[in-house]
Order: sequence, then C-alpha cells, then structure tokens
Amino acid sequence: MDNIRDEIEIADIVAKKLLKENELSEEEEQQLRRWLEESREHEELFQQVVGGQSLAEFREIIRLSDPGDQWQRLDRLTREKKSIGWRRWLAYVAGVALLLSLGLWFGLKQMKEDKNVVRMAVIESGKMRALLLLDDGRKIALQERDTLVTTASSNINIQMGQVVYEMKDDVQETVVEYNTIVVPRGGIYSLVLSDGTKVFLNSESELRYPAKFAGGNRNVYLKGEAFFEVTPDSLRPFIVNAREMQTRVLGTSFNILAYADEPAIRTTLFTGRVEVSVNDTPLKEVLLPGMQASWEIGSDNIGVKKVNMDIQSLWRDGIIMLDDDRLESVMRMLARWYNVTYEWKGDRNARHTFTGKINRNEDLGSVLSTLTLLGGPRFEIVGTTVYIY
Amino acid sequence: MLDNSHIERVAKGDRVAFKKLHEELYQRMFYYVYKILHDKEQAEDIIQDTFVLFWGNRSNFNNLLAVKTYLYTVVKNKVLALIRDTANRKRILESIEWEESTTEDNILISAEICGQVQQAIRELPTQTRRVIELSMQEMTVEKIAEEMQISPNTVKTLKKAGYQVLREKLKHLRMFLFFL
Repeated sequence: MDNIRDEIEIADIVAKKLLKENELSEEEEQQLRRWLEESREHEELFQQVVGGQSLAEFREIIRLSDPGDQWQRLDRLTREKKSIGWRRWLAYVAGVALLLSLGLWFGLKQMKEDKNVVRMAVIESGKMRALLLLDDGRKIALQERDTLVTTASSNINIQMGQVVYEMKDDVQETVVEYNTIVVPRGGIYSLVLSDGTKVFLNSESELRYPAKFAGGNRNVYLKGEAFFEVTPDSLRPFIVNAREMQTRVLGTSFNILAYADEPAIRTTLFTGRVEVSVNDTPLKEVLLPGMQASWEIGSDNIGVKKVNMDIQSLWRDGIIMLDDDRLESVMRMLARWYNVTYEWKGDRNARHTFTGKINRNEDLGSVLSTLTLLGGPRFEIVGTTVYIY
Repeated sequence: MLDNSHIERVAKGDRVAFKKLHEELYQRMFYYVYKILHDKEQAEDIIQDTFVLFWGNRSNFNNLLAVKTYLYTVVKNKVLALIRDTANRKRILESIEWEESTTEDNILISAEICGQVQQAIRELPTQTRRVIELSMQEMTVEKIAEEMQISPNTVKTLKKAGYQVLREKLKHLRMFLFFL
C-alpha cells in the first residue's frame, strides 16, 4: 500500500511542476530530485512526460474507452446490485465464433493452395492506395474490388486486396517481367514479393521488382522510403538499389529512406546484417542491428550511428515521429503525408526544433495549430498549399 | 479539480460528487490497466468492479490521496490476479516484450501525471475550450462565431486567451500533440 502511495505522491509533484511553475516547496523539489536520481528509468519516464510523448500516448489510449458509458454502468450497479458477468460470457461466445471462422479460413486456404496457383505477391490494402505499373505499360489502380489482368506471362488476379499471379504454362522461365508499385502522396502500402519478402512502402514512394525473381541476385529498385523484411536465401543476395546507394543483404529487416528531396540517404538496420555501398565510389559500410548509415548526397563518407529503432519504423503504424527536427524537415514530411505543398512567407531558417509524435489520422489543421502552439510559426492553409509565416 | 472536501461529500453518499470523482479518475485508471493488459473489455471490467467496491467502502475515506491509493491498489491486485490466470499469461508476456522495460510502477506514475495534465486542459472555461477545439478543426473565426452564435470579435478574444492559458499552463512541456 505504501509503495503505491509513494508513487502517487511523486506523480502529484511532477504534475504540479508541469502545471504550476515555481510552486514546488523545497521539500518537494528534494523529493523529486531523489526520485530522479534513484534510477535511469525514472529519469526516462520524466523526460517522456516533459517531452510530450507520454501524453500523446495517453490520449491515444483513453480514446478507446468512453467514461460516460462506463458511468452509466457504474451508476446502475451502485444503485441496485446486479450480476456483472455477462460481458465475460459474451467474450467467450465471441471467442468461439472467432475460432470457428479461423478454422473455416484455414480450410478455404488449404483448398485454394491445392489448385495449381503460384502465389507471387500479396498486397495488403485497407484505406491504402497505390498504382501497379505493368511491364507492358498498363496502369492499374489498386483497390479492393476484384480485377483480372492478363499479361504476356501471367494472369494477375487482384481480389480482396491480394494480388495472385498465375504463370502461363507456355512461358519460358527466362522472361523477367518487371512490375512497379507506386504509392502516391498520402498513401501507404505493403506487399509481399514472390520470394516472401515483405515490403512496406511509405507515401510518395516507388518499388520496381520482378514478378518472379530469376537466378542470381534479387534486385529491386526503390524511390522514397520503405521497410523491408527479407526472406533469407544465402544463395541469392537481396539488393535494394535506392538512388546512388546499394544495400545488400542475405536475410534481415531494415528501413531505407531515399526521397529525392531529402539531403541524405539513410539505411537503418533492425535485424541481421547488411552492407551499404555508394555507386561508383569505394564507400562501403557493414551495419549491425540498431545502427543507421547516412550518406549526405555527394559527400565522401558514410556516417554510421546508433539510433532508436522504435522511432525509425513508426511510419508503418501511421505515426510521424519528430526527433529534434527542424521545421524544414517537418514540412517535408507533412507534405508527403498530407499531399500538400508549402510556401515560406517568413524566416525559413528559424532554429526551433520539434520533438514528438504526430498521428496521421489527425487532420493537418490541428497538427499545424499544435506546431504553432509549441512555438512554431503561424500557418495558413489555402486549398492544398500551406503558407508559413 | 478534486480536493478533500469533495471526498467528504462522496463519503456522505453524494452521487453527483461520486460521478465527478469517476469522471476525473476513470481515464488515468483505464490507461494504467490497459497498458498492462492490452485488453479494453478486461480493463473496463476491472475498473468497474473497483469503483463498485469503493462505493461500498466510501464512508471510510476523508482525503483524495487515500482514495487514489485505495483505487490503484485494488486495480493493481485485480490486474495481477488476472495475469496469474494461466490462460492470459502467455499473451501478456508476449506483448510486454514490446514495451521494453516499463514496469507497472512507472505506468502508474505516468497515468497519474498525464491524467492530471489532461484534466487541467479540460478545465479551460467551456466557451474558450470550444473555440480552441473548433479552430483546431480548421474552422475560421467567422464559422466559429456562427456555430457558437457569438460575435467574431469575441471568438478572436477567446481564441487568443485560450492559447495563452495553454501555453502558460504547459510551459514545461516541450511538446504536446493531440490535445483538445
């Protein structure tokens, strides 16, 4: 009991410090200092609260449950006594139903795989959107409705957000057919390549890949940003060509950021081992998990540093993570997420930096208002242009 | 905000005061339980049961710290009991790996701090809060004036004052997003 009481007291002191400056008594200040020095975890917790990350998360979680609804229940229960087990019973029934439907799904899947269908790529949809460019120049908007596309070597069946290739019998193995997935501004998409490698593509990004990997290397070509989970194959290295940089791997997961308008290309390794090199130069670095290689375009070395991996791939969950970023780079990110352009009306070199999370479900207006509130400039949105004052 | 005299009213059986107590403490307790269990229904049930217990014992309390200590203690015990349930253990261990090393204690502290800050923002005067909410939805001053049936000048004044209060109240926060 005492333990929890102490924790609440510390929380009270921190909250007081945040909300009312200079009102902590000498004793409270000391108590806070002692607590902060007690462990690194305490210090981290404090930084996360002060930095706003905890609050952002708090806001996300409390959204899940409505206090008003809960009060209604509580109000009934504390007026007259009643049993409260019904909800658990309902959960049990739902669980059984879920098991049944999973069983059904596995059954169906089994049936499907018995047919002679080569499953080459899976494109997961949702509110996601992308464009599929075929080798023969045709463009297909990827949506959830069913479509059947026939190409020289295959039938591509797009249904329920999945792309299934059926290779035609009379086509020689040597024909390499390249497809390109284009994700527009404001979109996000994921797909599974024919070797099982998973790729998550960020907004305004493109991936060019062979419908089926032939022998030798597994080469793909990236513009923009993507996260890869490469299926191991020790005989066929997987090579991502992103602008001037090559990332060569055997089986691993990593993130590459290579937008045309960013001043650097960055590769962040999550698991395994990768080698990055820059075309037409002797520059080369081997990365271990948690490390990021960054090459400023045109420079003569690759910088390597340790980074927080959690932050680097948050974009996959629809979160923009700002980590001491200058307004210019914040604006580039926002332009890609929200499909807008921006124009500087005031001083673009302001040194103010921003740290925190932006949920892409938030509308742009409220994101910009928050930036203003945090000491950023004033913004005005006209049509799809943001003016920065 | 809640204070000790508020608790005394609850102790005497004042249901309006009880409702307010629930309203202020519910979200931070939900955050606490949800962060550990990752299950909305279970979290709601546990908090529900805890408040029911508290209501039965209400006459024993005369200060806020004691109430909060009681509520968090009961909630924590219920959470631990649930984790001991083998059916749940595996699933929770799996999700905890992703949380790095945040212990229950630290979650409790974050819950309390965030809950209090959130409450402070909710306590802006109703009209000011409404103006700020609407302007964050990209509504123009004129639109807001029309919606709230007040003059555009009043909107401007409230807006300015609201931002000022927020900036003042939260000046120790380097960043806070999705407020309001």
